[in-house]
Amino acid sequence: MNLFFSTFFLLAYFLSSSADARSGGTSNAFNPDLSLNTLFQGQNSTHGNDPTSLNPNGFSLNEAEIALMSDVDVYARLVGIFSITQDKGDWKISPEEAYAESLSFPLVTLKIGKFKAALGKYNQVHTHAWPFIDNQLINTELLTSEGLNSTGVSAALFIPLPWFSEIVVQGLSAPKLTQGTAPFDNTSPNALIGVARLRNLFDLSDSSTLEFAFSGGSGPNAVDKRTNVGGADMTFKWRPVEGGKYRAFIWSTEFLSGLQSGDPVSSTQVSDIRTQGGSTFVQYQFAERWWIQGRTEYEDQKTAAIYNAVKKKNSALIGFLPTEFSGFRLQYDHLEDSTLDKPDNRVIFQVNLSIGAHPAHTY
Amino acid sequence: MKLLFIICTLVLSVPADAKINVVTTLTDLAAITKEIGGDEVSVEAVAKGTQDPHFIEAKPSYMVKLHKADLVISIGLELEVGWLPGIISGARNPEIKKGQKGYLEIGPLVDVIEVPSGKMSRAEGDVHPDGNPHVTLSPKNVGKIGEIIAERLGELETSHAGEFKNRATKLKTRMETKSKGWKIRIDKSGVKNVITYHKTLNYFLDSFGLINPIDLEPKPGIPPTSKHIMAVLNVIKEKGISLILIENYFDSKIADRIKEDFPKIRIVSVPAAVEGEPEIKSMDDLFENLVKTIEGK
Repeated sequence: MNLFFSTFFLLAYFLSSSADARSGGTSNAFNPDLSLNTLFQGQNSTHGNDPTSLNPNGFSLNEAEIALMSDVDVYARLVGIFSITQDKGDWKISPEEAYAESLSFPLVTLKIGKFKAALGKYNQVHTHAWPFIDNQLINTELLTSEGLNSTGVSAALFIPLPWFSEIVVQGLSAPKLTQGTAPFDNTSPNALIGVARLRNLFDLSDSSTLEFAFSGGSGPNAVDKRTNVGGADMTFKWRPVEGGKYRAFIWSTEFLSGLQSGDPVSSTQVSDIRTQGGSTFVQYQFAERWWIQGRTEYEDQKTAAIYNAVKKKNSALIGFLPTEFSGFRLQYDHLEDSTLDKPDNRVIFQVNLSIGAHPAHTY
Repeated sequence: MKLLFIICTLVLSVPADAKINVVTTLTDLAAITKEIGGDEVSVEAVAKGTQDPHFIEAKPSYMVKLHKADLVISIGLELEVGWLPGIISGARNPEIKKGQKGYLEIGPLVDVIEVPSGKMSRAEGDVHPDGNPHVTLSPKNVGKIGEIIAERLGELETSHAGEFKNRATKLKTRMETKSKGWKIRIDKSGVKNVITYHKTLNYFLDSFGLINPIDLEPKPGIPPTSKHIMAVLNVIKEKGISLILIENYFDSKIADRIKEDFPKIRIVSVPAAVEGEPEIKSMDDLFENLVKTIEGK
């Protein structure tokens, strides 16, 4: 309860300060940009009433996210994104990202703090901006449901070529052992994960772009062996320069593969876990505020002796976005999971609302 | 060693006639900058004249343009708030950050209309806290913008400061002279009230004493609803409005509904920016086209 009072007073303070500034009160021009995003959802699925279900049927406040950002000085910008989520019945507030990044270096942006790793395209995207309501299967399996996100340093180098080209290199502390199953979890304070991503984007015309990227990460895992993850992604986007408010098309594909060494099969034997999978989806904007989307996914996980789990999932979504600050999405999923006795069919509805500072959209 | 010296000299040397590399957010600003900068500048705009300037996608390819820019010119007033900060940040060019000589925000330096007062809420739509950002649609503002750009180009390239200033003076004088002619023609047309889709053209209408009693949007950024169109029909009837201008990046299908009740009303889809149509190459062309449309030519 204290958490809610603290959060409420913090928000009330900043919002009233902003109002004062606009009405000509004391100067609050240096207050950070502040915003709040909330994700409400309701779902019904075949396995949603199972006692062990991670996504139980019913309504939930999936996440509330508070973001603050401002320039520290002429050299750096500070960003804090705090998420309020429910974990096993208890509400918790945690820093999803809290980092400082450089403003004054040519060619390179340096970053220090806690942030999302540049491993794959969608690992860096916040929950409210995911293209579908849920995370991709392979991302959840290899990088956890909230994504690989830890404390470290990052350098993003702009490569001066005729097209957009960037290489990102990051060193991150391994996330501390939480659920015991995440491929990069490690309790050692010195455990470091190395991540690199090369991204290229070409303008095919004034209306369309093609982006492709390769990324990889390597670090120690829970049994002090190594986990290696590699991936590639490709995205085509089309939005005509005439009539672009009403029509757009996106096709995006991502593939990730991971090798987690040292899975303890027995007290004397260890094995490897090989996981690979991908997702491809299309999004089509057919009116100013309406989108339809379709996605297909595949995931294959093998250990030497125990099991071979295969998941296949198809999703369809219709989205209504009245403004930049609100969105309503209805999604249907059909999941075939070799570890479940029958396929899972799910209908999920999401309400995505934001207040505060105008968001700067990423491409 | 000698070869290395030659290579380094070739790579690092800047040609004596190097131009100031300017990137503007809008085509209107690019057109003004081209006129002021002449052969001493190279200018490119991010948004196309056919695009709604509120909703440009922050393509990384724009970062490539801004990475090489000596000067970025924007409107400000939160017009580009959804896309420009990301492009500037991704460009990794410290010279064009806010507060540097390589960054120029025009909006706060010219006369701004429709500045909201009191407490604001997004329940009022996509309101701009610092006023209507479509400042380039006023001929008077265009003259002032020319002077502001000339001053900044002069700071970046002092040897041509005089030429930039002279060109700005010519632009301002020409806008003043032409405005008188445009005012006479608009007055002669008999048109007093004009409805637009969004508040884009309000600077132009204000400049020539025209009144916009209602927009087709019920609130800024919100598409027309049936209920609001009924209100628009009532206003058309009450005020005897004969002309609706729809900025050409908006869907003009709504015109069909209005035509049902008022078959004689003129509903025209017009470019609201330079290069909004291929023949609109300057601010003069843009204003001339709007005046002709009001005249019914």
